[in-house]
Amino acid sequence: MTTWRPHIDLARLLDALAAELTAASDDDVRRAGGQRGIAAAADEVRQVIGAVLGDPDAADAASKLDASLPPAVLLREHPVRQH
Amino acid sequence: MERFTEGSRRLIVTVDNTTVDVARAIHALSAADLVRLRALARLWTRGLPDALAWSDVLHEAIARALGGARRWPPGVPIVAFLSGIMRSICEDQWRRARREGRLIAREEDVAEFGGEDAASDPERTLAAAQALAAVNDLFAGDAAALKVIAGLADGLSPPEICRLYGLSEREYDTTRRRMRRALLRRGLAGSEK
Repeated sequence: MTTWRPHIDLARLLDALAAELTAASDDDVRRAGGQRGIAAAADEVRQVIGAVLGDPDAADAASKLDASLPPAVLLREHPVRQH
Repeated sequence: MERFTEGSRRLIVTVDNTTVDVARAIHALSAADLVRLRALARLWTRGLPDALAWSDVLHEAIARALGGARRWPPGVPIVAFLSGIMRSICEDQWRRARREGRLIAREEDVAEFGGEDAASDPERTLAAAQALAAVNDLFAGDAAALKVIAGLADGLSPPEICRLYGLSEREYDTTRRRMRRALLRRGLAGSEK
């Protein structure tokens, strides 16, 4: 009798489907979501990003941030050592 | 980046370059990339034993990436990198649920799946089978997609799947495109889980 190991099947399947999503073209995304759907979903993800960066109201701000600047959460302040 | 004024009491600011790279890449994500991320988060959390929301998993993944807990390997797209972290978070969640005994398998359910593995770790078997069923539900009504899903779960290559299920190369590609869009639509759907 062959042993069925569903956790292995599940891992293989999720990996394959994740690869499909990662490789999905912009056209696939457009066809799946439409302009409004994409904008709304993207805003939700920006909110999550904003929350990680310490600004829960950053849904809008995250989309307008200068990508060349590090976010505030990355700035670690240390007092200068006294010699 | 590192700035300081020697001899003064002013604060210095230091930033790990790799972390800055991650932050920049996240800020630079297009709307389509954000949709892919959301769909990936929903895929990884599908069937998860605890009611962990996709947004919680994505939040944690971004925090780990920014916090430097996970290094961003060169050449890996940021979306794939974050997807890998979400995968790991969800695996941890499965393990924790099993360890804490929150997955209780009924004997008759486990017997249905059979095999040595089911006998040695019934909770894991049942939980994985339920998660597989949850993924299958996504493609219910699409017979070709269910065949491709079964083949992918068995670890078959595309030619093997085509041969086993009598699909032409074109049918296989069309089915995969339908599956991709179904996953994206699911990722775009409004409900939390």
